[in-house]
Amino acid sequence: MLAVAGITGVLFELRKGDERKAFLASCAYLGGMLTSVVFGVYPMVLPARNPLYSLTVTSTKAADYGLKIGLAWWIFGIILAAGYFTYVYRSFAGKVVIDKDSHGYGD
Amino acid sequence: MADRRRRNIVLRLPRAVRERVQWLLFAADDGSVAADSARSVDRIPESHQERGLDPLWDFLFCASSLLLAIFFGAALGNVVRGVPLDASGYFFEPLWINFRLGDETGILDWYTILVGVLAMLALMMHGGLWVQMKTSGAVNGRAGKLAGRAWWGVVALTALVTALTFQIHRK
Repeated sequence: MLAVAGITGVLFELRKGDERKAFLASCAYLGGMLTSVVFGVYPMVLPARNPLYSLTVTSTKAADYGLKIGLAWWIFGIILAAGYFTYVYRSFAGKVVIDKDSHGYGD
Repeated sequence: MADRRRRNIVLRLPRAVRERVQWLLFAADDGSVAADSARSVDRIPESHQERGLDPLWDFLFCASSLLLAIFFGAALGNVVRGVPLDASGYFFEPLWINFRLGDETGILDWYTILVGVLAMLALMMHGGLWVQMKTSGAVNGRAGKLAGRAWWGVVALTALVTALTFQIHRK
């Protein structure tokens, strides 16, 4: 549904000329398609041609202790990554202005 | 004669790609994009104008980027279609066997290639919209036009791949 809304939104916003919303709609399409795949194959994580040998969430998960440690580090890591990406995209925010002195790195 | 012709084709191929890249990045107004395109060509840094773009690197950059998008999509197609896992939980797949969806599959078959082409078009549309959002003038117009064209391919292939996926899973 998200993917359908996204792909419809891309054309709608492109026609309207709203570049930002068109891009966000495209993000929704990609997000929708990828999550559809995940939900589509669940509870398998890697389906096999012979369904007996498919790797499922339960058969591939690590031990509880490992999962807990992983979650703790993931929270820490994802905050760092999110902060880094916020900083980078803020630094290059807005349209790129090309002139004789710049190399296209924004204002 | 044949040799020269062959060499010409090889030389012409990167040039054709270079011209497309330059069209997207630098070229003058093609009549349908914003009126300030001529001004934006003047604003291209001199270093870029003088140096031009090396056709061989242009070709390699474009071809490898396109192939990367296709292979990412094909990898996702493999996950959806299923891989030949055995009882030990391992599998080996050749790059391709006969491009068919039989008992023995390769990484590339008609289904995974189709998913790969869909991924390439979706990323082309996405990238076009990003470039459109980040630029102004002629580049902005061309990127939007490219995204608009890719959109039709994305819609058609999304519908086709979705229908085929349901069919494959039913089997």
